[in-house]
Amino acid sequence: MNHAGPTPVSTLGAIPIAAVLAALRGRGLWIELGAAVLRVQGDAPGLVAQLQSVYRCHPFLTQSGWADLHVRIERPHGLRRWLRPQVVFESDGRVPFEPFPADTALPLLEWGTNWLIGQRLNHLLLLHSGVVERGGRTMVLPAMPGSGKSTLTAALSLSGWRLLSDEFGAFDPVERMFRAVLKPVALKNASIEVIRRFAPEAHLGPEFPKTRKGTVAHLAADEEAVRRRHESAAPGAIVLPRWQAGSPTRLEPLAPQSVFGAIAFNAFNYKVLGAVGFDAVVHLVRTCPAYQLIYSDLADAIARLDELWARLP
Amino acid sequence: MPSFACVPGTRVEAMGDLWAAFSPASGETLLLNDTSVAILELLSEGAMPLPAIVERLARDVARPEGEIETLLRDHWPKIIEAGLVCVVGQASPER
Amino acid sequence: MTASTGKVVTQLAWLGAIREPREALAWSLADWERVVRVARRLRLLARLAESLESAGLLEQVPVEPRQHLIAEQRLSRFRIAAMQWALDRIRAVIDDPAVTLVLLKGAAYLGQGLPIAAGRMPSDVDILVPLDQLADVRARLLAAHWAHTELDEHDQRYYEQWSHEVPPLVHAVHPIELDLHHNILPPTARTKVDASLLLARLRPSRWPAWQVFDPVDQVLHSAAHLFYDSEIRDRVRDLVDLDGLFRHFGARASFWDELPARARELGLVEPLALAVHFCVEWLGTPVPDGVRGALVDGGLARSRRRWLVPMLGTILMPQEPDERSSWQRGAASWLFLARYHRWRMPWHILLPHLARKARLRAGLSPER
Repeated sequence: MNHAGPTPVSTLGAIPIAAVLAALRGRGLWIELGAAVLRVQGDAPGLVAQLQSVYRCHPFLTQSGWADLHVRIERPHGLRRWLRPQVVFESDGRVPFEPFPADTALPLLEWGTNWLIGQRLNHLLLLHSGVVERGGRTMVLPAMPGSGKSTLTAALSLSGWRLLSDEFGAFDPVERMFRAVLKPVALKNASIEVIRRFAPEAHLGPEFPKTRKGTVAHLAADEEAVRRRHESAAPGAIVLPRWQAGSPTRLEPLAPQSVFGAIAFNAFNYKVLGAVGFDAVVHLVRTCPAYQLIYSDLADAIARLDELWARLP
Repeated sequence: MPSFACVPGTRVEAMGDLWAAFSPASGETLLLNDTSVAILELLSEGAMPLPAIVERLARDVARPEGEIETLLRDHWPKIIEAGLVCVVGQASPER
Repeated sequence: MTASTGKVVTQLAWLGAIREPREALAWSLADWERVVRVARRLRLLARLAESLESAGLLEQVPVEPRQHLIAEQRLSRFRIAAMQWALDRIRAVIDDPAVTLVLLKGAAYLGQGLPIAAGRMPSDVDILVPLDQLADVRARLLAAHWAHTELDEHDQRYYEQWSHEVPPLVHAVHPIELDLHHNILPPTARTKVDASLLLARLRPSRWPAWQVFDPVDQVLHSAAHLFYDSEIRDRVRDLVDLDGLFRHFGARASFWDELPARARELGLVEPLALAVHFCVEWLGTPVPDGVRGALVDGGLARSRRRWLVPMLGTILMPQEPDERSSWQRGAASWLFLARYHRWRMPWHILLPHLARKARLRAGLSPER
């Protein structure tokens, strides 16, 4: 028996599948996202392998004193168990969505959990953006349609930037720091192949071809991002990405009045936070230089951002 | 003649060329230009009836009163609906 | 009955912290985890948060649940502000001293600044106008960009003929739905309330132009709403509201004298008896000696009490967070809904209405 210290916790990816299955069918699996703890239970077929793939570096936890979100992904009773089988997302006695086909348990878990986070975590200002960190400062990438935000966030996380989240810019208005909501990066359609080519060694989970948003696959958060999931980070800069076919990389400063809307009106819970949200956005816009990034070559864009970071005041 | 006042707790912050304004009454955030902010600034000194607002504003920005009146007629409903300005005596319900 | 009542009280013991927030400081993290989940579903979490904050105790709550309390508090304050703003704009639109505008339920509690106003989670605003002013008020609201959600001809007729309210109104700017009533109970129901009796005893609220029912009528409305509504789940909050109303208005001795007589006058004796029974048994609401016995014994026939009270007890008891629905709850739910539908509409209207709803749900066309 080793008395040298606490037993190191294994990661979800390294644990035998039977142990994970037992946890999901029993009291549950606790997944630490940083700003929130997610507890998952359920008998959805295939979910075990999917979780082990896209949460591979997260610690394997079968007990904890606290969870913020309690989710069940299950097969419903009745006919739908066999005929065109489905899975259902349930949390605290409520079923907020229509069932999904049973072979898309992971997308259901991911989208459903994102919905819960957007609804519940109102002690934080939740921007709709990717957030990565380098040298103790964060880069916020607001999500606009067609921006390629997820692709860029994924690529940055594979290029020496620490991932905090691909969906939520979780800003603590009291501490004035960003917190991680560390979930796998959701890639859609063409982005999947782009990231595969960009980083062939990257750990992509299974592809789900027929979801409402097309084909979806998830990039697992790496070991360093998971290890530092509890570390908050100071605001650095705001970069609005715009992918444009054939365009050379351009990084153009943006005036505050253009950025305010991109941050505030795009957030999940800006209105709910009232004056607190207003003050937080004013602070962010005033302390962070803002840019529009127009690009077509991912590697070149990242090189430009690396350069920007070296010059950051 | 009704008087207009700034809704208490309204926040106005400079944002580059524009201003961000927050109304605690309506929960709305608006991006305003200088004219609208000038109106709010005027009313923050005290409640005023509409003709007085027109007169002071015309003087402050050195433009003819007729022009200011037209400008106000365009902006006024939006500013009231956004909860930045209210009619005195019909102020937002106390909490 | 006594044995099951004992269990009931323990399961709901956490509700005491809303009135005595100091009790929450004794909770373990596991206790907190359960309370956060149940209270949020019951729309009581913000109420707890406001109680703790008023008592200066929020900082002593462990950080994990504290974040949820703060988050829910923000959501509550946002919704309350949205409700107030919508009411302010409606008043500005109507702008006519000849129109009688009455606040109902949560809006009324807010408009009077009652203790149960803090921490509410309104999703809609309930107001009432006299039947003869309804068309006019509705027209003015529609002209001010309030709009009915998409309704077909049958649903329109349902509301017009068989309901005490017009279809819900929504507005592009206001995040909250408006429910415009002309009575507190549907005209087709077995229990009919004469709205003019309620309108004869209106009181001013703290808000200009808005009035509220007499306190006794507010309590009776709340009791009627609790026991004559079709929503099965998570009704304990309404009981907590009733407890709050009894405590606040009941401080005045004359309230208890007026209450039974008015209940008889409005035909709401049974809901009042049920309200008093559950409030006293479950929440320890202080009701003067003699009044309680008279109300409950006088209001509930023994035969009805035997099946009605246990059924309602099963319905009202909130489900624990990881609890799966029991057969008892399922059976009680079925009974509750059957009772509601039978009460709500006469058979000759109800059956075609339900058949139509079933066809719609099955994806068939509404007409045969």
